[in-house]
Amino acid sequence: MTDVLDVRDLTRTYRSGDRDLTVLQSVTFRIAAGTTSAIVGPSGSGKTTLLGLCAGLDRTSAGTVILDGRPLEHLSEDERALLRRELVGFVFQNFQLIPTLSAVENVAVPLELRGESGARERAAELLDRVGLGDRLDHYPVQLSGGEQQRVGLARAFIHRPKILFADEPTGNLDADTGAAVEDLLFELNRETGTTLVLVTHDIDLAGRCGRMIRLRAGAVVEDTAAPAERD
Amino acid sequence: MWVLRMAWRDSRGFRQRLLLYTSAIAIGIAALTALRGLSHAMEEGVAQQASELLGADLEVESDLPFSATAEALFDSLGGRRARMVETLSMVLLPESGGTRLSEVRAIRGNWPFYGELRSDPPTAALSFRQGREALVDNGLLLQYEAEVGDSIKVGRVTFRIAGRLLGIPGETAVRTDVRPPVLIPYEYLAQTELVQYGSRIEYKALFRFDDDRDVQDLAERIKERLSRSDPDIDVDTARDRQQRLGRTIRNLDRFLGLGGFIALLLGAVGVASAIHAYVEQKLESVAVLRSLGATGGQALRIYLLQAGVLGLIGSTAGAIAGAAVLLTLPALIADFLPGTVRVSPSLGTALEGISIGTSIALLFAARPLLAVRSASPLLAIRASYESGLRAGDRVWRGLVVVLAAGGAYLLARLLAGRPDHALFFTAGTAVALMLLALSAHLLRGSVRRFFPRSLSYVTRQGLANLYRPHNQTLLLMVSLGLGTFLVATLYTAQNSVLAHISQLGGEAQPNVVLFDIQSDQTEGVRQLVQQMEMPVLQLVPVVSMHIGAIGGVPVDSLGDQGGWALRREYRSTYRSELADSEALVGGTWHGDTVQAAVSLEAGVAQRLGVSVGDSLTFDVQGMPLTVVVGSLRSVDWQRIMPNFLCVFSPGVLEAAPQFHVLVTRGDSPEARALLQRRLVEKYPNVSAIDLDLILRTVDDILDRVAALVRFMALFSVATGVVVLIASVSASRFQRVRESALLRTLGASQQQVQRMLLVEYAALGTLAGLTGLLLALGGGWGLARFVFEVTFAPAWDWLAGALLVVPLLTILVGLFGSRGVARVPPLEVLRRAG
Repeated sequence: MTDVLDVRDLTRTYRSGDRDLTVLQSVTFRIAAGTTSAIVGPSGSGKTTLLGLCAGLDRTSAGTVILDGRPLEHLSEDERALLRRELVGFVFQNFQLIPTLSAVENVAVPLELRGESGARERAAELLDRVGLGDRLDHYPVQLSGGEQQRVGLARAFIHRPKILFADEPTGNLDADTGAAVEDLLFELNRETGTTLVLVTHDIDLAGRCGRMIRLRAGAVVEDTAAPAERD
Repeated sequence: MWVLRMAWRDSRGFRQRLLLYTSAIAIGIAALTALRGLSHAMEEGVAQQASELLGADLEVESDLPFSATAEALFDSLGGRRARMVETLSMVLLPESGGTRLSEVRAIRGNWPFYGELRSDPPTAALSFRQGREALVDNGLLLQYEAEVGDSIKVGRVTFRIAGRLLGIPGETAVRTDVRPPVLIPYEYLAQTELVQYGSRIEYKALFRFDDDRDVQDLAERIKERLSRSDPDIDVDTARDRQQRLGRTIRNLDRFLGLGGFIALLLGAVGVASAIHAYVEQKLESVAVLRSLGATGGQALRIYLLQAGVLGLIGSTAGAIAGAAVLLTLPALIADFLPGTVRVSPSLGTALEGISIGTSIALLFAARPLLAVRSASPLLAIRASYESGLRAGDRVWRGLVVVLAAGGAYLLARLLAGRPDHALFFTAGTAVALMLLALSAHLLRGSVRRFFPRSLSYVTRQGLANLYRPHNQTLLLMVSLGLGTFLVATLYTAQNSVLAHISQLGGEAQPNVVLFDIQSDQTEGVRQLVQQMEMPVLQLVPVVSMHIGAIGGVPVDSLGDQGGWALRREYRSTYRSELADSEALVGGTWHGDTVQAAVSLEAGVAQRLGVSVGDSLTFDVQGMPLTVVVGSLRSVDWQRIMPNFLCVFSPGVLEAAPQFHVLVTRGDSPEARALLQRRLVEKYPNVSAIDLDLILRTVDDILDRVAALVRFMALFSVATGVVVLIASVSASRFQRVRESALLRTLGASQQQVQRMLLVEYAALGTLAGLTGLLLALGGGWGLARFVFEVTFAPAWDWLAGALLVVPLLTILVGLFGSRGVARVPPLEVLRRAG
């Protein structure tokens, strides 16, 4: 199985006042295509930072992130954006729907960015698939949290990304709604064969993934992957 | 395509607010297109009415009666002819007893040949020439409540008033204010006895040629032919007049252009700050788009497109409004221009305004929009992430600022016409804006530093809003401050000038000047003044002359050296003592010495390039007179008394044609009026100027100028108000959230409203105060260096302004924030979550 994500010796420090704050230290792991992984750890352990770096949202201080065979550190911000457009899907904790766009428009954005035709039709189909076929033209403020996250899932999967990053996808939802969203996430993941990397506090959610990477104070303290997968 | 679609979708829910931002640019463009349209109309009007400016094709003018050679030449020219003799003289309106210094014009022939004398009744413009009748300036008649059919005494002759004179082609209302014209038939001129030896008379011969001869060429030939027999003549054609008027128009244009420039720049500042507030709300959406794969360039284009469309809509609305405003403008400038200006909105001007407005909006929006380009996608997962500018963006930001400054310069260039003026405009505005921004910064800093902790919670919260993140201090200080500054500077300068003139008449200072007194009348006039128990403060002879040569070199060979000083008419006197208003600054005062010497005013000596010991030849009405420069004097011109550039030693000018000037003081206006009435009766050729007249005239002219400036300041203030509304509404989002949080924590609606009140009151007061302080500086500079008078601010007016500006700010601020305190907290908090 090929690796879709290869993280080697990843370190990230931030300048805080007059001293450096190390958020991630020498993190190394590889993720094979089509697998599901969860990054877990307490607050402040560096989970979200790691996710951002894997998706190329930020630059590393040291080490390498290789996404689908392409090292990110030499790419400019815009080149990384183009790479995300092709390969990456995102699900955010607070949904991050664009408030001025209707549900169907929000979902269509990734396809539109790629210049594909029929974006609206496919977005409508996918919204129907996530159970929002009758809410296409509603704006985010007119949707409940669960509905908003279902729109978020549709948006994340519409361009069949190679890898999908989910940042606490159920963190802002009540238990029942969260469970429904979880189910949908895994269903869509199976249907599209996407590699899933999610960050969560929720051990139950993490347990549904094939692998768990545990962070503490910016370092990997546990990785449940088979030894072959680990290096 | 996607960018276009996104730009449209993204503006949802913000369109109303965005349109409000556009009105800032709209007002600027309205001012600009209206003023540009006006200047085009003025140029066209002057070109079309060129011949009316003179009322003739050619005018030959002289201070002396024309020679026989000249008369013979005029006879040979053909065409239609008219004659006019003009002199300044007192006129008396016997019914009311009023007297006033007027411009008496005796007319023969059908002048004006072009355009018409406007009169009430209309027939009077022609009929007065048939009998002993006069056409009298309407303003003069109104002043003394005289009617058509009453009489007017000009010199020794009493005329029946045939009609009210409403307008003379080619003459401005400002001019007729200063010296109201009284037109009489030529044949009565001799009987008036106004033409006396030494009095100042202008003789004019006017021509209209219906063939297509080259008038310009003819003018040159006349000047040449008469250079010996009538060296004093001046030949004027309609084209000369048009060119001179062109200069006036350009000055007016530049002045109006400055108004348009400031209004537009203020609008641009408004757009920039509105876009800044808008972008802050959009950064999270931008981050999401970026994380989904949009490039920085794509994100920037979405918002640039929005800003461009905003600019386009605003400018179009502005151009349409400008066309409407244009129609009201001619009334404002009518007093400064002869003839009528017909305005009609033009598509070209509108398109120009639209493209200028759109470009300025884009240029000024670009800087805040760069934040979009550098917005980090990390914002999508970390709300608190602050993305600093990347190195490349710093370069971009510098570039955009340079571009915006360049755009402002180009705009100024278009409006001012000349590169140096454009630079002055741009730099001047930049300095004013920087001073205001600096004041804002200082005030913000000092409120923070010396924060009044003992005040109530509500007051402290309101004041703290001045320096909190997303505060509007800078924006409001600049926009409101600039408007206040402009209006107040103007008013302060005007007040200083008026105060200065009133002071001139204070405490034993002379306040009446009698001139054109003939040598044989001096004793009589002196006695008359003394009988009225008024002091004779000065009685001096005046001789008119020109400079003929400097150091033996004739003026004609001196080229441009000396400029006006070389060519002007010198009204000189002779005496052996220095006057109170003079001080010796070089050489030796001639005193009673017999050697022919002249004492020059130091400035004019410098201008002429002569010093003590040099020889000067004067042309005293045809007679050459060579004297040595014996001394140099400084002169205090700021007094109502005759002052002289040249003072001769006694024994040189006694025989020359001359008149005398008597300076006196009358304590009451009634006494002064009585003196003038008696004078007119006994010595009709003697003219009087009194302080009341000067004050009234200056006040009148300043009022007309002020109306024009107020009009432009209005645009500036209107833009300020729109910018204020726009900026209040831009921060509304933030306000609503804060208000919800405060109320969740237990603040009452009333408390929230009071905080807003305190904030806007503080902003308005500080902005007004800064504007007024700067205006005191500006007014002082204008008074000191431009008008050269003592600085006298109108404190009561300034105090009034200090109340009005904060009140306006509070009103607009509270209006813009209405409902903020009433949005249910839960709704806001849910949305935020």
